[in-house]
Amino acid sequence: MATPVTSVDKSVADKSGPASDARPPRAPRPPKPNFRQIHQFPLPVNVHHVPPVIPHNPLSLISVALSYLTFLISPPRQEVYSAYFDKATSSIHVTDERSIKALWQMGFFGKGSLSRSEPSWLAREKKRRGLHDGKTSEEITRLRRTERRELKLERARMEKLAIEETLKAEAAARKSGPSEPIEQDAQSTTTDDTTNATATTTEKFSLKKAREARALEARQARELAAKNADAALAEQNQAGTSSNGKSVRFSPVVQKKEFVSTSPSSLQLPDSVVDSLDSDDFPNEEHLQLSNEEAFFLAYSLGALQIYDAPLKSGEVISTSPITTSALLQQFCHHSFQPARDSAASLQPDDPFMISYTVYHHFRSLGWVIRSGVKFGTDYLLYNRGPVFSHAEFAVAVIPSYTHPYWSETEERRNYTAEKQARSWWWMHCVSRVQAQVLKSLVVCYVDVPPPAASVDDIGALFSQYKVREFLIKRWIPNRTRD
Amino acid sequence: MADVDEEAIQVPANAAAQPEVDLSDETQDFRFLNHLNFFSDSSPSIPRRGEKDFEPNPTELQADVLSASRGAMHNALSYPRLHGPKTRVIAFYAPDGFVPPAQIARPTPKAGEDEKSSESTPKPARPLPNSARISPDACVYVPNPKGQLFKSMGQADSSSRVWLLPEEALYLIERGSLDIRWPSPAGSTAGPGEEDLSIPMSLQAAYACFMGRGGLTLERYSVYTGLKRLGYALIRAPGWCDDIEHLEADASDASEITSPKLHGPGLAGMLSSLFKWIHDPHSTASTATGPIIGTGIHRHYMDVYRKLAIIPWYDPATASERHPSDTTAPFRVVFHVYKPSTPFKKSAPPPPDFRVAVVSTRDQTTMPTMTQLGALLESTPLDPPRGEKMDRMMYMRLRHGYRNVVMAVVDQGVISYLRIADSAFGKEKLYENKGGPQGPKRGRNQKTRKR
Amino acid sequence: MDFQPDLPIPISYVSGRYLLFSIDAVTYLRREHNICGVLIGTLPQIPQQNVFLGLPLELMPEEARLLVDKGVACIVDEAKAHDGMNTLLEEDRRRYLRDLESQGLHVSRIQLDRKERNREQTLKKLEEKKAKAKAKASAAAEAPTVPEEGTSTPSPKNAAIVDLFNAEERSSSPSASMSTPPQAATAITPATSYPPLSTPSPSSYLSAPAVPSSYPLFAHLHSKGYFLSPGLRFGCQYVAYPGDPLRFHSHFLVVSYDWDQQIDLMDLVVGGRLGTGVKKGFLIGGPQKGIDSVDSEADRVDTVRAFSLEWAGM
Repeated sequence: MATPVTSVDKSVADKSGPASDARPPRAPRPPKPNFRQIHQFPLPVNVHHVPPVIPHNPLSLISVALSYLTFLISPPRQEVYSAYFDKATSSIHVTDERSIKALWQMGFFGKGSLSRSEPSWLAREKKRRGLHDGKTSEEITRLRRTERRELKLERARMEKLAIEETLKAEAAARKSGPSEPIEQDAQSTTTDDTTNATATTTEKFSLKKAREARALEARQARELAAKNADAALAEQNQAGTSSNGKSVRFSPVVQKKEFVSTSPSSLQLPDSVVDSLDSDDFPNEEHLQLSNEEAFFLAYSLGALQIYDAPLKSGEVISTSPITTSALLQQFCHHSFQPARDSAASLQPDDPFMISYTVYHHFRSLGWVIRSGVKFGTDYLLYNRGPVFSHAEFAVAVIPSYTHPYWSETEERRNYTAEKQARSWWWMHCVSRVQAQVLKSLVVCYVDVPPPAASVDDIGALFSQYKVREFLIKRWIPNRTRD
Repeated sequence: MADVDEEAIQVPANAAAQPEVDLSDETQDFRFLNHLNFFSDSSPSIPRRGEKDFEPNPTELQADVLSASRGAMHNALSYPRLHGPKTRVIAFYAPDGFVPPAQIARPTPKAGEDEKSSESTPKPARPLPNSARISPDACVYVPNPKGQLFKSMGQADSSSRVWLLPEEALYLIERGSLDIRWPSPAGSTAGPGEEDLSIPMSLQAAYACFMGRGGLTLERYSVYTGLKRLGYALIRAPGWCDDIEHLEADASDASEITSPKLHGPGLAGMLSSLFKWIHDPHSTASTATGPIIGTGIHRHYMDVYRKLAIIPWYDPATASERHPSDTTAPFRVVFHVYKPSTPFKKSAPPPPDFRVAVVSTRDQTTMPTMTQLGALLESTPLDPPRGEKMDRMMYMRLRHGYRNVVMAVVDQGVISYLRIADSAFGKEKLYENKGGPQGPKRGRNQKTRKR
Repeated sequence: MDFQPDLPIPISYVSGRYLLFSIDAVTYLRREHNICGVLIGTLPQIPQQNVFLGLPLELMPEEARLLVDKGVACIVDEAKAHDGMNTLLEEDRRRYLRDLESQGLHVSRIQLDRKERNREQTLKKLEEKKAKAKAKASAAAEAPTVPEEGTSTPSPKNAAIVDLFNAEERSSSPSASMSTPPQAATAITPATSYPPLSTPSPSSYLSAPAVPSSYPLFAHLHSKGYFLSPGLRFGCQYVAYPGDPLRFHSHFLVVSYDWDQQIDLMDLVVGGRLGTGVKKGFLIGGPQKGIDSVDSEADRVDTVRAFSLEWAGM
């Protein structure tokens, strides 16, 4: 379970660029786990290859017959996992260790309730208690953020010092000579040759500079800061009253808290044993959390998951039967509203779950590993084979569409659908900008909603009424396409 | 791990080579205008970003730099539009639009050049320019056009006067390349030797007269001039007029219909094959209550995925092309755009490099619906991913799409361009690639895509 | 540079948009009222780029409204005002043309002088430049055809010509001696039509611009000293700068909501993420009172509350 973490480590080291050179060299890491082996099955479905029939070769017929015979005598059983629906969080919980592992490894379903992605709480906890080597991705991120925050504070301090220096110099200049040097300065900014020089003096302090400065004269700076503290404080007060006091710097209280909380994480003992530790020491408090779309796909489409109304005590004999797929669909549709809709309400073709599941199923059925895109502000992310293999290339934003004539029959429906389809330009650009920041392509996926169906008994027939259309939206920079 | 994605955000933050940086995004300090030297090597001349301050502080230095910046801006914006005697190109505003030469020769205010050119009208060497190409929206004519700019702008009439559309005239006067004159006051027709009383049009007057004329909006003009400044050539597309239904359909389609109509079963055929999978008699599958893939023995994951395909999807390759009149304004192509490197002949424009629709955020506050966007794309010709690289790279195919259009979203003078492509994920069966090499490459490819 | 234009400043209403053509008005509004607008015109001295743009300046309806409400500006229907060109008296026509001609002569003289002075250097430089320009021009399909070769690259040398032009235009009483007309006058395309047109009368002013529902938040931030620009390209409604955008980076990406409006949580996620990714705050806000419950827009502005969001990771 702990193995994938190392790959994260590696990518952090690769990606962080200039920041990494300042860090102490890391201990060599255990080799990357064989993800292709671990995740060789794309879905939690058993597949049994039947030997090919070669007409000219009677032996091949025998081998085929044999394999059929084997299936007959001891039919391979499709593994069915169990989960329960948690109304409070409107999500599906899987608590059985083996099921968690299987659902994650075969198709990357769900996320750890105490982790960002793969359930890794147990491994993290062991490490925290000194039982493991290395850092989890969560810890690395925290460290990196702490460091960055420190550097930002340092930069802010240096900027403030520079401003104070300037103010002092200007005050001194005013005293000594009647404004001569300042005027000279002002003039110089307008002339051609000195603009660059001015630009460099007024250039903002980069993080890199801040870091260098800190490394070189950490002690000096601290002394200086202590010495200047009183004066700076006084000047700050002055400045505070004279300027209109705008600032977007974030509260120092929060930053302090972070520093404190991260300090114990540095206490770690080396331990090269990764996988052989038993987990008897303490219970795993984490479970796998499936989204409703994932759960419905596993239950309805693959038949690999049974969902119960309430958690099962371990060892307890299953007394209640699992929820049927049609009841599950109802339940998920009702819970796709916030707060959940009354269970007596009838299904509507544009219930958010119907739309989101249509998209989920569409991309799953094409072979994509589709996961929530909430961290990038989209509905879904599409992974080729899975998140351990590569970054998601596509981020999917889902918008309903109502092209069927039914939806424009009455004024009321027209207004209703207009509101449902409306997306503001700023939202579109906001999403598109964020995807550009994280180097993803934005896919706007429209789902054409059918009119209300007479019967909702046949789920397959229901979903075959929907239609999906994808548009790829990307910023076009005319400067780049001139030739 | 999914966490890995989060690290990606660091890349642009500290890397100098951020792919999306566009200098025109931000207000630039006009003091650096002097460093913009477009005639020498371009690399050192573009000012670098990050030279601004974080917030105002009470230093005089900051106040001085600000006032210097504003001074530089003031100077740059006061720079007059001058026309040296030798390079001056004169044009005349014709408020009533295009008038055939015979009639207009009489009230022409400036006699000199114009008469000369009309005397030499019968030029048998070349076929006469087709006056029919002159748009009824043209409202400025240049009796004696010279310079490169007219290579991609204007249409000549039978007496070699070049007639300009409002956006062309405005663009030229704004860049200081054209001296446009008001028509002379009625009744004071100047004889050959008399004083010319035609007043030069100010920039303000040009905006007041040309904007709103013949469908020209400020947003369309902003896109026009923004791309012209970068060296693109632009012409109006058939979707320019709101009443395109009345326009000749043949002329607009002639160039676009050349794209091969796609064979294939069409949507109905595709659906029926989908249902064939669904009702596979050998399967124990039930789409009514699931499991779709059945409870039996699966031979291969491919079979599993094929059974899973129950959601219909739009296939852009089989959709038929639609006439621009099927689109809803403003989601229709109004400009055909040509790269600077594309050989452009205004008398016979080639197929455009880009098709641009222009939207004002204040008039159209929401994104297009699927119907609107779909119609916009279907009014463009099929442009499927082609080439060796595209065949190999699935991601490239998806990003390129089967049709594409550029949408210029204009927010109060700030233009944001979006390239929108019809990308059919349904045509890329990713599962067929299981176990193959990582990344976007795909080895074998038996799809019809390969042509 | 600290020129004070006559108030109210006429804002040209052209085809449904609000434009400014006078550089003095632009500079004044920027300096005194924190209004920067968006430059949308081509700079005649460097017409082949989009980094530095020139007049006219487009104002958002919000900006125009704010200025009108303050009594600083008024709205003029520019197309209608230019109908006055038809009824211009011949006397005014002649006078205007004479003024322009003398300005043009002056410009010609200055150019000639400078040419003489800089002939040697210019020649040298020109040779080099031309060689380079040729390479460059062949790359760009459309070579710039700026009339004056010497002034095609802007430099402080041009400051003289600019200043002189300004001064003359303002006084509109050319003192240039007509003694030695050296050559043909340089023709000039003026930036504005006033003169020859006379200032529009208050009776012709249009009513205050209609504004979107985000206006109260706009006015609120403006009243706190922020400079605001249209923000669509950055993924928001307005970008808020702590000072003149010429010298300061923006602090906030701003989106307005109605007080009772349901906000999709994902909108906040993506907005916060965007802002933090570019080191800015994502700011949402709106007036607590609807337009029905107060007397004027100004009263709504006083009830605006704003919140800043930061993406804190996971």
